[in-house]
Amino acid sequence: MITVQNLYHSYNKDDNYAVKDVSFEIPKGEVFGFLGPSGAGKSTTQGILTGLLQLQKGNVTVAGYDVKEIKRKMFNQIGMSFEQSNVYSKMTAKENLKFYAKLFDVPTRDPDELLEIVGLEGKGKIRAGEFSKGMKHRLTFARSMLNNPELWFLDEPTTGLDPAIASVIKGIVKEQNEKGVTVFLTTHNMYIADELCDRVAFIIDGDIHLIDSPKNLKLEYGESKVEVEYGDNGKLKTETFSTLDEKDKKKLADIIAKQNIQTMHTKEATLEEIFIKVTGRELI
Amino acid sequence: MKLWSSFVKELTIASRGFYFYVEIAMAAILLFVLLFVIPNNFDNKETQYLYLEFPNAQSQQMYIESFNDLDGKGKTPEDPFKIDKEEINSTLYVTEDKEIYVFDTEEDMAKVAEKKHKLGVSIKMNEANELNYTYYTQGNETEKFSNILKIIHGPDDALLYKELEGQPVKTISTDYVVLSDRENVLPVFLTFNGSLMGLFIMAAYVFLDKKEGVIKAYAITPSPVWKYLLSKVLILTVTALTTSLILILPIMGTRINYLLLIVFLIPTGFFASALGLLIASYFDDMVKSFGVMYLLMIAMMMPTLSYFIASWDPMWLKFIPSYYIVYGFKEIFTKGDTGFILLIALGYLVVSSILFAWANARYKKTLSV
Repeated sequence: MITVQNLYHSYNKDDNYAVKDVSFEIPKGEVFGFLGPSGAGKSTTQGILTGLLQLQKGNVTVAGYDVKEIKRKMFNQIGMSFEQSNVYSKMTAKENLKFYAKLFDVPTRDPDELLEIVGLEGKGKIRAGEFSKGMKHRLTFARSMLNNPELWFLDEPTTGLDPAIASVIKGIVKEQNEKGVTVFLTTHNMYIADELCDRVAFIIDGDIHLIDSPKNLKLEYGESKVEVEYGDNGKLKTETFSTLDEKDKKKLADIIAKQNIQTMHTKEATLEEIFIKVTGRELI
Repeated sequence: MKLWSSFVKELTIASRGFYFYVEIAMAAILLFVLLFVIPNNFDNKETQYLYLEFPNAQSQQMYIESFNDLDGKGKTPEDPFKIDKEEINSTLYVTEDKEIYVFDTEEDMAKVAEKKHKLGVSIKMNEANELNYTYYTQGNETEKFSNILKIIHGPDDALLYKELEGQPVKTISTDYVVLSDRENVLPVFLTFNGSLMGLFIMAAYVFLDKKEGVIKAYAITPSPVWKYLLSKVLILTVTALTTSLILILPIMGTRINYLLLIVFLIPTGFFASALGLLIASYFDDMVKSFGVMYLLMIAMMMPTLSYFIASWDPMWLKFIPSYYIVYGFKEIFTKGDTGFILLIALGYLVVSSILFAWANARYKKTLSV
């Protein structure tokens, strides 16, 4: 769905690249996470893929279209949810969706249905300017689904949302992905990436350091251990066991069978820990 | 369809916004000024301050009657002159084109002329019944004017009047419509309201969209950016037409060719909005663009000076686009050369199209992420 080869971009058109020699491919139906701290080159890459920034150097195809010469009809297949909510504040939520729906050449979804999906049912007649930040964000997210996109760009889709709404948004992303929608997710939130992405790319200072699935990364960088907290003769004990060592495995089975288990956690690494390990940088 | 949707959207936003009503209010204020502040024709009666010293009352009265006073009798002015709280006596004679104040003493006349910055004249008749004139000028008169005063009462003044009467003067255009002073101001107001306000309001609209980030959202749709820009131009054109008609209809009534006016208003409005689009493409917000905007608006107002001061019409002024807007409006109101008006309209259409294409290229390149 997306092919990027040797992509470079410089805002000042000099050797100070915001993105340098970036290459990756995203097959149809994948949720691809583009992870990195602020200023890493995530938005620049996404800007080039969506045609907001002109391609300077490299080869990029999006939904079968060469980004060098963008055809407007490409946008019938693309949806984009921006990090910063960008809706017409003087228009109602429904007017916003109805207006954008008319700009597409493909059948579009019912604005009322979309508002309901993102939890804005009954708010269609309220001007977007009167919405809270989170509501505007949800409206921006709903707008990105108007044209039933095959390729969906999501820039920090859950930022600023309360956990319940964030969970709804994650559910929608999963549901759309199950229908075959390809998702390009830009975020610095590793938990969301871990939960949603089939593969993730770590980008720092315009360079991609690594591309792999969260599962593989955890196996490679995590520790194969389990931490158990259990009661032993009225005393609370904590022990760590290897899931690979036969002796540890036997001892763990024995504790599970005989003791009163309080908590038990695998000691796999989080994506954030792996990111720090691989890039030497924190996600700020 | 996409252009129409964008236009309807712009209309909705404009009707719920501030700037649309600013334009309407500005047109209403200008109309108020035209109707109630600017007279249909300015009072251009000449004021003269005289001191008369004649050998006898009879000859002085004869001279006064030569003023062609409406009733032949002078009156005490309603608002007498005061110098240092001292009231100065004078007699006022009103004719069709003059207000003549005759003072009791030459000293009084000179004092008032100095205070009021007017020309004073002392006229004395000698025993040989010859008139002697002494002019009290302010010192800032041109040499030409002073020279005229020196020769106008010379021994050959009869010859001078004879030459004046004998000099043939031919008027080239016989069907030229003479505008009243109020109508004459209208082209300047229209240039300011329709064109220059259009430039400012367009920039304001774009900066509002930039602030809300909606241009980026539009760019991720199959609708090309030029349709977004053109919908803004259309809304500004509608506003320019509306506000211009608010000004023109009550003043000009049905005396002008409205079809020609609309043909002229559309490209000139297009020009202002395309220029506004282009300027807004180089800045992030109104504050940053204010310097350029201000300079441009000052430059665009320069031709209106030439409009009022006909003798000041340097060549460089003709390169300022608003020059032809002001004179184009005047041509329409005076039922002037239709070909000239259409040529100006065509010129603006071409220039505006170039500016629009330039602005479109700028917006396509500068949709930052």
